Amino acid sequence: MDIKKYIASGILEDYALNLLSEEDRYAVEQNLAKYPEIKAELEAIQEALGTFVQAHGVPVSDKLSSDILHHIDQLEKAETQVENEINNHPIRTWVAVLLILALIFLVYLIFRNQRLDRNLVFAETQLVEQQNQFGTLRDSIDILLLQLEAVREKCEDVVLLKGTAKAPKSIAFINYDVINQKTFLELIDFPIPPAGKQYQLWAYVDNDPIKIGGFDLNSPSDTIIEMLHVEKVNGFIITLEEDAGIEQPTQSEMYAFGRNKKLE
Amino acid sequence: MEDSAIIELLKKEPKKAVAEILAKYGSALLGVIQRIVGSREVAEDVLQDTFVKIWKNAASYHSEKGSLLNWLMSIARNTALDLVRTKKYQKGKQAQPLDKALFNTMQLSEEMYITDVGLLKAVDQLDRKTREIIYLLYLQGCTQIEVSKTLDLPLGTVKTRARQGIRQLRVLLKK
Repeated sequence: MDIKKYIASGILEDYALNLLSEEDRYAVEQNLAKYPEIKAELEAIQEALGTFVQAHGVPVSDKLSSDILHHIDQLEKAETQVENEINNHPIRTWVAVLLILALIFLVYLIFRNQRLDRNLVFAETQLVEQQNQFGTLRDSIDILLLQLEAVREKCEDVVLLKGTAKAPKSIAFINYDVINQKTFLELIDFPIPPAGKQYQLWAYVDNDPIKIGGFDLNSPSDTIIEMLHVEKVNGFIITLEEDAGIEQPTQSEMYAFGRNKKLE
Repeated sequence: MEDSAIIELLKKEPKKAVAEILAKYGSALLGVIQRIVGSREVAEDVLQDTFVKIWKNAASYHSEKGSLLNWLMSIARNTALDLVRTKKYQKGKQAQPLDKALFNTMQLSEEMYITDVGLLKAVDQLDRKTREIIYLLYLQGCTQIEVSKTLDLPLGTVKTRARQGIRQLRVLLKK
């Protein structure tokens, strides 16, 4: 930048006389900060204008000077007094007490809110877990119902076996298909047998028990099992027996029983 | 007291700074105000209001934004112009237009209350028209257009003569 040319342009005089636009003033101020020669030149211009102002001054009397300073002094005293009155007013104490109480209450509310938030998160977690469990259970039931439907489609005759006092919640269905000569056993909610024992399904023909198969429920596929088909069955029972099996059912170990109502 | 010392005082002890400003620049500010409001009595009231504003706004002055005198003059000018623009004042002056009022007060610019003979000689050597231009622009805060209308001069001439006037003044003050 050619500083001499910039100074000779007259822009600094225009700046001092406030003849520049905002944009031009800003540009001059940037150069003032950058170049000490430009700043010195502006100061010289302002000094000359200051002299011009002084030359056109009107003397201030001692009384006027004294009145102005006295007036400012009075204003300062009045402001200080008002400030002190505000600071020492009893209402300030009450306001302070109320603010402290409000603050304590606010802190209590924040803590309470945090505790409720924690409880809510815990409850939500539990709900999600229960929903998942319910979903799993529901899926299992759906699978079972599908399996049951499939079997029922094939068989016309179904014998219901109700759980005895040993397994009151247990139910079994015998899909007794006399046309195709097929027997399927469907188990619902039977307890897992203890080690060394297994369930036996018995068919009664003319009041004589015939052993038609054993199962131990150790795998999910055991819930619907194809058994030996026997004709003219009056009823079925399920007992819990030794692994080796026996030829007669142990009546005291009966878990479920049901009659074939078609033959009654 | 130097301006730099007054500026320091403005930040720490505004009331003391006001006393220093009154002693150093009081007459200059009263001159500016009186030529805007026209009456000595009113000008003294406006000067008091001006110094109250200086005292209250002491913390807002920053030297980067211009010289101390510039800042003081802008407060004095604005306080005087605010009064001149009020309906009450206009009524008292029979609704005299502002540019007319400025022109009339120009007559007062002929008066100078300088005790320094060297300074008097320097300013007196400026030609009357140039003195009027600088006076209206700098002391009364008129715009270039207002000066052009008041003195019936082309806009460009106002600016050129103002620049030349300042340069001439600097040369005269150096002598």
